[in-house]
Amino acid sequence: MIFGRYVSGDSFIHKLDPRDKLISATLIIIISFLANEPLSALILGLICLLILLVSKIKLLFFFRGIRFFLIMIAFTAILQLLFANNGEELFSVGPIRITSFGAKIASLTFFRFSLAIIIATLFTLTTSMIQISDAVGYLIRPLKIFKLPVDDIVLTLSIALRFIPTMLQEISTISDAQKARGSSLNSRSIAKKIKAIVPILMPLFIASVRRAEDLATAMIMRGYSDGKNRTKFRIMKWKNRDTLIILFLLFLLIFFGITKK
Amino acid sequence: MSNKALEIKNLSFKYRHNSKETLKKINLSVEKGKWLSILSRNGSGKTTLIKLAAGLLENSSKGSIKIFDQEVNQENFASIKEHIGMVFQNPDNQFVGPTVQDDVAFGLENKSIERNEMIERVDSALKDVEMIEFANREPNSLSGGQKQRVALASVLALQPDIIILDEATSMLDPKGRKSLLKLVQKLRSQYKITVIAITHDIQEIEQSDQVIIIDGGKKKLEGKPAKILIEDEKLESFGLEVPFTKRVRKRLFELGIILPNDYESKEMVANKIWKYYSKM
Ligand SMILES: Nc1ncnc2c1ncn2[C@@H]1O[C@H](COP(=O)(O)OP(=O)(O)OP(=O)(O)O)[C@@H](O)[C@H]1O
Ligand SMILES: [Mg+2]
Repeated sequence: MIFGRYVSGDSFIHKLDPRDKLISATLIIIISFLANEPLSALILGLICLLILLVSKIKLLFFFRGIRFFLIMIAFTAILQLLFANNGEELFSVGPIRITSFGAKIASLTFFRFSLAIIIATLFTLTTSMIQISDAVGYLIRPLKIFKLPVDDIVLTLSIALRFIPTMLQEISTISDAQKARGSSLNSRSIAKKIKAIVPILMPLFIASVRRAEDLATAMIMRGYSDGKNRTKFRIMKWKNRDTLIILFLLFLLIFFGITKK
Repeated sequence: MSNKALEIKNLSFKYRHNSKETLKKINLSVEKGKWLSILSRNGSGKTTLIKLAAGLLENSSKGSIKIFDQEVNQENFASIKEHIGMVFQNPDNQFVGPTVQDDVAFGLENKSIERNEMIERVDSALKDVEMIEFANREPNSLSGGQKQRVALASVLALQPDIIILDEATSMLDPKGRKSLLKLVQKLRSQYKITVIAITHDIQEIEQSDQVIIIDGGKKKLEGKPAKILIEDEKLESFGLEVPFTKRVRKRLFELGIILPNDYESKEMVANKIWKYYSKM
């Protein structure tokens, strides 16, 4: 499973502004819901393929990573194909009737959901967590009008993200320690498993409380009071190419919107 | 600026829900640019003492705490913490940023420092701690010693007058410990920083100008490391490990070989033994 993973690189796609990538990914998914005929589907499919190639992500790695989703989507599509009854009959085998309508919605379902998964995966593969949180933080800035402490939320989010690997490591250390003491973590019985989880969660919880205290002290001593009036070290640079990409997608959106039957 | 980095007079402290006082009538003074080591067994109030000194705990006793002649209290907290940088025991718990350079920049961002200056200061702090090649690394790809260097850089970028190390080397391996100490020593003389270090490490104590031992909330011993480290019976009674060289000297004494009775580093004792040996 590679959805949510980041593979660092320096491709054109990696270097795009994360805000651009976030907006563009959303736009492409919206457009895919307007595209309901082979030509527009083909155009979108080609766009995805282009992004995938430009991002220099290995095709085999990519499709293996999303294989599970694709199979699930295909399964759903096949069910639609089998059970949709209206429309012209194309052919029938025993009790199963395949209709033109069924074929149409099945292919649309497969196309739209696969495209959404592909685009979302491409986004997370080429954009680091911290860039995503910066981009989200920027895009929700208008919510400041409603007194939402956007800067604090973004900082909290970025600290939380920073500690995920640390905590995962801690979990594995603690569970190794518990296993060494004969914990039944690998036992088949669910009840035993749940019982074995408690002695892992407790030390983790205590360590986290201690960590939060240390972290708060460290932040205070380094002059943190609240999100206001902080300058930014990490900046995002919006370039002309980012504007062009958005304009192109908006054009597609409008075009497909108008020509939609 | 005054010559006294820290001056504590008659300081007592009790946590609200504790029945006993954690600190009892502590007096202490550290001159600018000196290195003070604070020694004691676990739970005897070292962290409490430095938290009070930094204004992180409220001093409700009649005693006084001054940082460069300024009284430490709630009103002065903002200017007190400008003087002080702290490095803690656990390397992970003080790493705020997603990458090394972001972490060093964190304190500068808080002080609304303009971005170009920020980049310069982050760079120079990372060079100072020899971590510049790691600027883009994430914390999880660093060793404990490297994380402590980053913590030191984060503090240095804010140009403190006093650096407080709360068992900052205790989770490091001997090599990491040695190199961090060397670094602190170098930075101290380069920037005239006062160092206050809580420690159990003999090497760290050897490097300092002044040592105090706290036990049961009271200051029990104070002096130069050479003087403190020969008091082995007392050290032992405070639950501290007696230095290796001292134990060697004692064993030799029992065998009828007398080495001069003042504390010296391992290398010097080894030298003396060599000399003695070649005379035999
Ligand atoms: N927030 C608190 N509330 C109540 N009591 C506390 C608090 N923090 C510490 N203490 C108690 O105060 C005493 C001194 O604690 P302190 O952390 O200062 O010791 P220490 O010398 O730093 O110990 P260590 O070597 O373990 O770091 C301990 O008995 C501790 O239980
Ligand atoms: Mg402590």
